[in-house]
Amino acid sequence: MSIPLYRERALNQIALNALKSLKENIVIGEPKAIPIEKIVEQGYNLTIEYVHLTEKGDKLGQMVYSKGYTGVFDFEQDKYVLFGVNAGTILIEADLVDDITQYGRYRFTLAHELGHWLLHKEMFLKTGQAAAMYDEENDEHSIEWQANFVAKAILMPKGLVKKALYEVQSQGIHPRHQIDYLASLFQVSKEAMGYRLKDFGLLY
Amino acid sequence: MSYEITFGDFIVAKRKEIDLSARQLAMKLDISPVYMCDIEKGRKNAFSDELLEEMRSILCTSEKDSDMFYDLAAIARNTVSSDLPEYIMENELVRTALRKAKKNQISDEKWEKFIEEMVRKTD
Repeated sequence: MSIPLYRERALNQIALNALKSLKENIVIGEPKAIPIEKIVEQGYNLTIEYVHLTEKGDKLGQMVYSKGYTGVFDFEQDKYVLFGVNAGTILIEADLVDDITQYGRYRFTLAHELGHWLLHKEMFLKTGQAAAMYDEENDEHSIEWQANFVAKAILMPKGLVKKALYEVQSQGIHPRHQIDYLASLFQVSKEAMGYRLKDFGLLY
Repeated sequence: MSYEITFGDFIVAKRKEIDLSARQLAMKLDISPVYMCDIEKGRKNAFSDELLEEMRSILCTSEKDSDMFYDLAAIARNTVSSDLPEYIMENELVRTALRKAKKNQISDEKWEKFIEEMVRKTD
């Protein structure tokens, strides 16, 4: 299975298209959390479902590219069962959405799976492989990197993050609290916001 | 009456109209997002009348929507629309009328005429 190559510029453009998929313009104006659930459901007409993907809950999300069956863990029966899903469904680990302290991670997982849909559906559909099956570790590493790139570009658009950062700096918020403030404003994890600011060379 | 869509589809369409995700609707209803998802997908249908009523008050703004909501929920739960049992059981004449209609296999056309007449008189 060959992975499509995307330059960073192309990935940024794909993220921007996602931000523009809604009727209202969310890229300009006051910096605020990107409505990722709405982009997924209404911008791309995808379905979100909450299930136990694994017994341990260590797999956070899965993009379903074509209609079929996938294994999910059923705690009532204490075993994996086959679960029918439609094409264009994002499966999210139930434990993740139930834990409000993980809200930022939940949102990032949604954006990451949307990234897979936008970047990799042709690749999966052409080869007819099941959505969560990757042959080579290298392939997986690379497509995961691409999906993460698009996810952070959707949830933390450069213009909005910069604008928000300048605002908190001018308000005299202590540098130590700036990341916390921005993370809660954009509803992402502190780690994700920290990496994003480093990407822009705004964090030293 | 037959509907083309399921109760779950109706909920999804209505919550999207007011910009709510399944997770946000679940929070308003004080139920888990997983349970909300199961209701939307038709995997769980043993929900309480109280939950149903709260859902209706959030999602339905018109009488037409409410009627459809009750009917679709009843189909999903394999029961009578929950706005009706009380009315039926409180009124003996209603029960008599329904039994006679059933016994005589009243046609849709006759029902429509009857409803029209009833509405005309009350208006």
